[in-house]
Amino acid sequence: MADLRLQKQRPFGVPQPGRFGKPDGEPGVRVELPDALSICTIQPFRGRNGACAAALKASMGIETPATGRANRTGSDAIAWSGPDMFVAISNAPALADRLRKAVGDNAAIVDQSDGKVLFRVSGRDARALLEKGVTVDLHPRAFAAGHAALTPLSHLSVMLVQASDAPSYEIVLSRAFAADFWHWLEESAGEFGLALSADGSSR
Amino acid sequence: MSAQPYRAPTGGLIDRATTLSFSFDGRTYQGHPGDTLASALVANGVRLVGRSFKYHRPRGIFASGAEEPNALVELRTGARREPNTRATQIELYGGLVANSQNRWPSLDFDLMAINGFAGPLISAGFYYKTFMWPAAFWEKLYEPLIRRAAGLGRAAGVEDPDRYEKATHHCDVLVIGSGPAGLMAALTAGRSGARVLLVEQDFRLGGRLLDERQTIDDAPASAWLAAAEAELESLPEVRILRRTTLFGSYDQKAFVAVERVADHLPEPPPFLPRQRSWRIFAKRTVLTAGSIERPIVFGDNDRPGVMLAGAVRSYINRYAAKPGSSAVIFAGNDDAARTAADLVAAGVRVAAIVDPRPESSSAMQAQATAAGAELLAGSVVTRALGNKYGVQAVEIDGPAGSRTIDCDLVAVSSGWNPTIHIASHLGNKPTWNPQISAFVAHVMPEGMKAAGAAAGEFTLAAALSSGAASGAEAADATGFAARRTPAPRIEPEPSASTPLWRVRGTKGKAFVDYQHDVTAADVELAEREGFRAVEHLKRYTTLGMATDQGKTANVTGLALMAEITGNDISRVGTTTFRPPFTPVAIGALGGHSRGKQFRPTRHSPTHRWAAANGAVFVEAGQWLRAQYFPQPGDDWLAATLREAKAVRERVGFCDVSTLGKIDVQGPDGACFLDRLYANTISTLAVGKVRYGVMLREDGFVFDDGTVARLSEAHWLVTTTTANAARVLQHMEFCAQVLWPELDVRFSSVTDQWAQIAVAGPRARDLLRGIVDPAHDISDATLPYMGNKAVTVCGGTAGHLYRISFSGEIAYELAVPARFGDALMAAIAAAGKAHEALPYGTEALSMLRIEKGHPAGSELNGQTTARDLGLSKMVSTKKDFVGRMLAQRPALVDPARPILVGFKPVDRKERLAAGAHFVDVGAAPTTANDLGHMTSVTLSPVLGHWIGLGLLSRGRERIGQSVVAHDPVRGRDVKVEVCDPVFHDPQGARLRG
Repeated sequence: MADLRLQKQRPFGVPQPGRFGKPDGEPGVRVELPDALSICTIQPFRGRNGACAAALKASMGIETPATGRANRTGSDAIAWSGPDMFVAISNAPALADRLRKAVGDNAAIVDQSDGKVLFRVSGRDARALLEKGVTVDLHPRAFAAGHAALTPLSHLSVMLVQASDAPSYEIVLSRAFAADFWHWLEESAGEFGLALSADGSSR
Repeated sequence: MSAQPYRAPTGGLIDRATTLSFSFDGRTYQGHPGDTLASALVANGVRLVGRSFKYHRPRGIFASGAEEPNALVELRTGARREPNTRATQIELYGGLVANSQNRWPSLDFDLMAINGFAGPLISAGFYYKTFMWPAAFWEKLYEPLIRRAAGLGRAAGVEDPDRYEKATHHCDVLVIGSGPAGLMAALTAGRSGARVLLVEQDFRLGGRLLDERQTIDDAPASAWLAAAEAELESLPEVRILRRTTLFGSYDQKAFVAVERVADHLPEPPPFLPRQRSWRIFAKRTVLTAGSIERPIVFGDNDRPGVMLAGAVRSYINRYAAKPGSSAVIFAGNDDAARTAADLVAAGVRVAAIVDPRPESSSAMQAQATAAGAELLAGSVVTRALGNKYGVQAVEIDGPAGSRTIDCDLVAVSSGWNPTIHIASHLGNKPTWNPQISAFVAHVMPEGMKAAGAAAGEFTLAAALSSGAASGAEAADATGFAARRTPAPRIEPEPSASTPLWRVRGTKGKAFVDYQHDVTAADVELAEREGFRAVEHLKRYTTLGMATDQGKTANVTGLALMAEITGNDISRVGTTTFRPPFTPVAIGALGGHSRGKQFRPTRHSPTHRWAAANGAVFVEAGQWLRAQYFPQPGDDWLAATLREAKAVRERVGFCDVSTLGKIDVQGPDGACFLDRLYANTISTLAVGKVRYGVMLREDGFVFDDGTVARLSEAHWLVTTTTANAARVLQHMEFCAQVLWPELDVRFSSVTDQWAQIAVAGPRARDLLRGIVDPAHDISDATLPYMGNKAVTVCGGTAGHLYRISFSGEIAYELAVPARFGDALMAAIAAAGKAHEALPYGTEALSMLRIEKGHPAGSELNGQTTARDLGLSKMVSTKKDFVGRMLAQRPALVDPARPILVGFKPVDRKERLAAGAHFVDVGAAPTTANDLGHMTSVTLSPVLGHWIGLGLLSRGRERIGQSVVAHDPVRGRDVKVEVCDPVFHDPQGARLRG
């Protein structure tokens, strides 16, 4: 039944791209929900951190980050996500297969491209928005591009990565919570004006 | 009606160009931007603003800030009505509606005022004594009566239409309060580059600078204030939160404040919350919260028109509103001179300055002369005379005897208490400083320092210099180098003060705590009855327990107790300071976490499809699951029966994505899983699935699920929906703490996969239309308990598990979650030819009860593997979590209730879960209890009700009858004990 090809769906509860909250003026917060990202967790096995890091460097061209940090090259990134645990993010498809080939039996690779959703948050008021969700100190003196944190956001668990100094952030959370995240986002960003796009098409 | 008869024509920080109309108790008045409700009422000559809590005594505005005990109003109407708001802190806006509280039928004519005559019945501790007997009267008579008579405002009673939010701020230096000390601290720290947060509860910065007529650097203080504010605004790392009350101090240098974002508006503008609560983390804190003035206890000192002297100056100077036309000042401190001068400047006659100190300073005398007022040294006011609209005269007792002086305003002061609440919230006890006759925060929380009046530095010069020093010190301590600048020039000011707590031997009630109607006599009574310790005094008299938490009352109450017991006040101590400093709306604490957002909701990757196809949803843990799919006219049972029959007779499909899925990898994975599960997992072959049961350390069953071996060192473990997070947590604990030597990694993939069960005799036929033809899914290739990778619908990668919860031929097909809705649609389409139906959790449950599978009601944390009939699964050849404690005598007692099935002897009868079993003819008592019914359903196969339950010696009773006793529904049903597997006990339908 090759004619029944399955179509991808956005996570439940996240609306179609558009403008939300304060309707006028430049939106203070811009949010992108890319629909074709690859996301994988990487957990090196005992004593294999070095070999794993070398394989990742060779495969993705990215150094394995230190605790609380994220390294990136172009649109690919590897972020620390816990003790001996990392998350790789890429625009390229089939990242899990690529990483499994690269690291072999040095690490457990788990594809989370569908288990996680990633929201890119930027704009003039991005930091003021996140103040309403996370307790992490996001002042540039404390949290800058290349920093990563695992933190509650409202009542959800998220991984927060600062992608650029602008600032822009990446927020990664479990897919099933996307509706709750959106609810928080729309309420909290309402006063700034919020623009939602897919893959940056509204830029 | 004359417009604002008590408003001075010039001066004050109000915008006369704009007039705002507002209503109080149904009458319309005018005020200006910059007013508070209290100042606008003062300007309009409104003196009576409320009735007191217990005696319903007429009360007027007493203070001008957060400490106000009397002027509490219900603000706004309808769903936005907010009780017990302090008129002194309500910023006036056009259209404001406020009503007085605790009066019936009206403020002017209050029937409950008779309570004043019933005083002896409701004195201190009255509710411990008067209403003790008979006990039966309490609920029906006494309590409703007291509730109607006592109490303050009424809650809105309907849902708050507004939104609240929470936010976090981190800073190097937190400055609490923006009076002169706070401004200096913020400026000094801010100039160094430190991240400074300045929090001010008022809508204007300045603190007492707004209320007094003082000079700084030989110019009016307002000029200095404007420059300071402008500079603070210009410093990039300084943030100012106005209209924000920092109400509590917590461990780890954390604070919570509430910002009244929109309380100064009729309703919040679009997209803004009413209030925002701030969690603040500060490396250093400068407490510059100022001080609160103390009243004096004398006869009928609660009459409207008796007002704190500092509040009198505030109304005159800041708001250009005159609280009276003829004043008597009663104060034992040099501030009295300031009060007299300000009153005279505002055109208020000063009839007398009553100074209890035997000798007044020359400055005081000069001021009295300038004011044309009598200075009565060594004298006291013994009683305020007047009517319900306020004071008309005072009785004075002095060296020259007694006399009466006419006045409509009594400005009282017994000195100032540093506002040290925030320094005391963590349990630090304040210390008495005899030099200033006040409690100060001597031992401070880590990283905090007080400055200005909050530190007992009451003069402006001292406030500015101590603020600057504390700000500099705080900035230095956080790694910045603060520049010390010379302090501004201040005129010397006299600040001598001798407290007079109360005037003895007065007639009339002499109030200590206005808001809770506690009098000096109540404190004496408490002492006589043995409630002398401060915490006892507080509970017995309710002193300091009202919404103002005794801000104007506590220290006076303590001083009285000290005086009565002949103790020094330093030995009496203080009661415990607790957050919040002023009342906080629950909404502000809850923020976004309200209604459906109270806790997270998880939506399955097929939620959209289920909703579009009419599913009724049920909460399962955090998840919403499709419960059943009703058709028109269906109830839940009809829908469920149809769905279950489809599975038994043809084929059905059901979303099982919500079950926990944990990916396990690693060279020691097999060993890890063997230790985790009671049964053996290591022998499971690649491409196979096994049912597994996990015990808790205490030997009871923890969870059940399946383990699929995907490759040599790769497994997929499933858990129940409810226990998914706990199982992962348990695995983390085992890996990190119990067996750190095992090399294994795991992560939750619950959200990664949309998983759909396809069950029924035609399940394979249906799936043949979904799984790509290249993949053989015949019974030979994929037998019962097999698993394999497949592609579906023309190339989407997925995984097929042949497992069954229903007892029919069944599969679970997993695809990446983004395809969940599409796969449901594809299965529904492919299922049309097979008359397939979607089914929900009700049918799932119906089918599993028919098959005797234990689920949530049986895995209740009190059952062992043996209780559930799973003894054979428990390995005797290896160690695993729970093995030892599962062998405890009570857990292997043959009399323990064990899982069996039940059928009603009369097949027409309905069964009910929760019913307890007793022998036929036995009394339904605890002693005769044999166990209970855990799950029931109407069996689509058998056509009558069936049940699963835990019955003592159940297997031995198969074939016998017991009574299922259900006192809740009032039903006793005779039931036959049977094997728990009602359908296909040989499992023939599973295979093939």
